[in-house]
Formats: sequence, structure tokens, C-alpha cells
Amino acid sequence: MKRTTIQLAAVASLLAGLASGYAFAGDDLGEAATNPVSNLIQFRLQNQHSWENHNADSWGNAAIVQTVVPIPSLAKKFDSLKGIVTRATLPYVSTPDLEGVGRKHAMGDTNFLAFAVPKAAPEKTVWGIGPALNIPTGGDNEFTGSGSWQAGPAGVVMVTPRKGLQVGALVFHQWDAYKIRSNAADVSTTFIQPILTQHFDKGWYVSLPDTPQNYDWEEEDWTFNIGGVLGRVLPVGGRPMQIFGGVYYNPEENNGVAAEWTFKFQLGWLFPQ
Amino acid sequence: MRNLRSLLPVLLLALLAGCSTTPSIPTPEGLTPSGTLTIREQQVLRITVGGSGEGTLIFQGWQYPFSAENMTVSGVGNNPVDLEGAVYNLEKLEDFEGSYKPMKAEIKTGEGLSGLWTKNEKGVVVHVRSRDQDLEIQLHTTGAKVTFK
Repeated sequence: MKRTTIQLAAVASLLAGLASGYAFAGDDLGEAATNPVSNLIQFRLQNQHSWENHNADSWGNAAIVQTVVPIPSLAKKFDSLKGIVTRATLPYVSTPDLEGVGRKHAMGDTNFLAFAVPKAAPEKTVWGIGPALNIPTGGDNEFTGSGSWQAGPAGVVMVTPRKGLQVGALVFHQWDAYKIRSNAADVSTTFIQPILTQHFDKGWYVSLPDTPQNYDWEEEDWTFNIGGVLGRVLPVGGRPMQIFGGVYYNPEENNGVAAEWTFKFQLGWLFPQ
Repeated sequence: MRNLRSLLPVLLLALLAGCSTTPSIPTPEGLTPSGTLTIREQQVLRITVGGSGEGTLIFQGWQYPFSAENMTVSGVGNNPVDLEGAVYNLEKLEDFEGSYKPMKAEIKTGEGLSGLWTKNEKGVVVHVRSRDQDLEIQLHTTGAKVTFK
């Protein structure tokens, strides 16, 4: 009953959008929404459901809150900067149900990226560098959090060779800097998120996953997220939203319990200037 | 997983419902779509030099605030009016700044092309129209001056 009510509310909201007559520049706003260092405020609710996992016979899930917040007042203090953009990702994790351990539900670690975006850039290119932080909001829960503060460099470059096409990569590395749990593992991990997005009319787009591939230098293991995303930027109740769904596959099974097949869904609210 | 399945119809509805909400403007021949913009025009009644507005250009995934002077939207008193528009033939960001004058003979209006079509001295074309009402947009004879903030 409750679920039905939620669905009806969502449909009502969409119908309100229909009635608003809001003329909408979805294509260009979409390009801003899929630019990882855009100066567009965004609030995203995501759910990442892994219905198949390596070395576990049950599902795992992460409910994620992600914010993208530019800080123009800080960027204005530096003549050479076009902007400063922050991205914070806070997950609530449900682990697969493991024999002898059970299923754990708890906060995961918060990932924080900040990018300084210089004005100087080749034509049709945006790039940025900054810090990547892992904040151990998972606390001492060894199943949902790393148990350590981690830090490292982050960089992103994205080219728009023609309108609607975005190509690039977002890369960051994190080392453990301070352990809050005595048995926390040493960490040295590189995260690589290729960017390949094609936008179409009416706000539609297809892209590679917004979830990075990562290489664990301590365990010498890759974790891949091979797949694709179908998304759309559209007005809902007069407010632009970014909605997408994507499916990813991780073929690597040699690193313990890890997601194999994952479905990710997002409701994102955009706040253009 | 059951929750996820129950959300799928909502997602599909959202995508399908949106299909009919987005009015599309045909692209006139010879123009290459480059970006979009919104302008909030301050209504200062009719004065000789026209009103002023503030807007945001979205170009290559970035928002650029700008000001527009010497543009007047007729008819509705002192309230701000929201305009929206499309930008064509913009290759370099700096070419957006300039003085925009009406394109009288080059664009045939009608068939979804109503609104005001303007062009600056660098060949950048901007099409603006009022968002909620069919209001007349006028430019001063010297053109509307657009500068980044």
C-alpha cells in the first residue's frame, strides 16, 4: 500500500511537470549534468543494487546520496580559475548475506573530491585537479567501511569534440593516511572513470557508467564496472531532473566478495543558476 | 530487488511523460546549435534606452552568467520577465559577447520559429522568446549589448 502511494505521488509529480508548460533546454543542461566538473549544483539519490556477487550467494546494495556543489565565491579569489567544484558521495551499505556473518547494514565511507578548474584550457576542453579524500564514516564496521582516512590526488579532463559528445577521464588515487580501526588494511587504490557520453534530442543521453574502475595496488586486483547508462534530463514539476538507469558487470572474481552484476538508478535534482 | 522492480514503472513513466513536455524548436538552415540561455529581464516600463537583464549561457557543459542591456519586453509593468533562448554558430566562448541586432530577412518566422532572432557582429545567432507568455521583445536601435559578468 505504501509503495503504491509513493508511485502515485511520483506520477502526480510528473503530471504536474506536464501541466507546467515549462519550456526546457534539456540538451544543454544535460551536458552540464554529465560534466563531472560542471558549475551546476546537483543533489542526487542513487541506488546501486548488486543482484549477483562473486563469492557470495546473495545480493548487496548501496543507497547513495551524492552532492555536486561549486564554490564560485572561492574561485573568484583566483584569477586563473574558472571554478571550484566539490563532489561528495555518502553510501548506506547492505552487504551480501555471508555464512557465519550475516548481512550488515551500515553507513559506508564518504568519498570527497574537489576540483580547481583553470580558465586556461585547450579549445572545447575542461580540466581540473584537486584532492581526493576518503572519510571513514563507516566507523569501525569492518564490513561497510575501510576504517581509515585516505587521501590522494584527483584529476579530470573532458573534451567536447562536437556538441553533444563528451570524452575524457576522471582519475584519482587514495592512500591510507590515518587508521581509526586497528585491523584496517593498508590502502593504495587507483580509481579510473572513463567518460564517454553522447547526448541526443529532448535531454536523452547514453554513457559509460559513472562508477569508476579501480586497481588495488596492495592486493594487485582490478574491479571493473563494464556497462552502460541510459539517462535523461527533463523537467519534473518545473524543476530539471536527471534520471538514469545503468547495468554494470565486473568479471573479476579473485578479490573476495565483490559485486558481479549491478543495476544503478538515479534521481537527481539540478539547480541551474 | 522487489523495491527496485517497483520503481521501474515510475522511471519509465517519467521518461515517457517527459517526451511530450519538451517543445522542440526546428533549427533554421545554416545555423549550428551551440548552447542555450535564460534571461531574467527587469521591467523598467518603457524608457528610451531599454531595460537590462541578467542571464546564464550554458555552453559545453558550463554555466556562464552575463548581462544584457538595451532590451525591452513589452507590456507587463514592473515585474521581471523570464526569457529563454538558443544560441547558434558559437565556436569560441568569447564570441558570445557583443552587440546583438534583429535578423529581419534572414529568418522566416512561424512554424515554431517565433520569438526574436538576433545576430552579433561575430556571426553568433541568439533566438529568445518569453517563457510563459507571448510577449514582444524589442531591442534598442544600437542593439542589445551582451557582456559576461
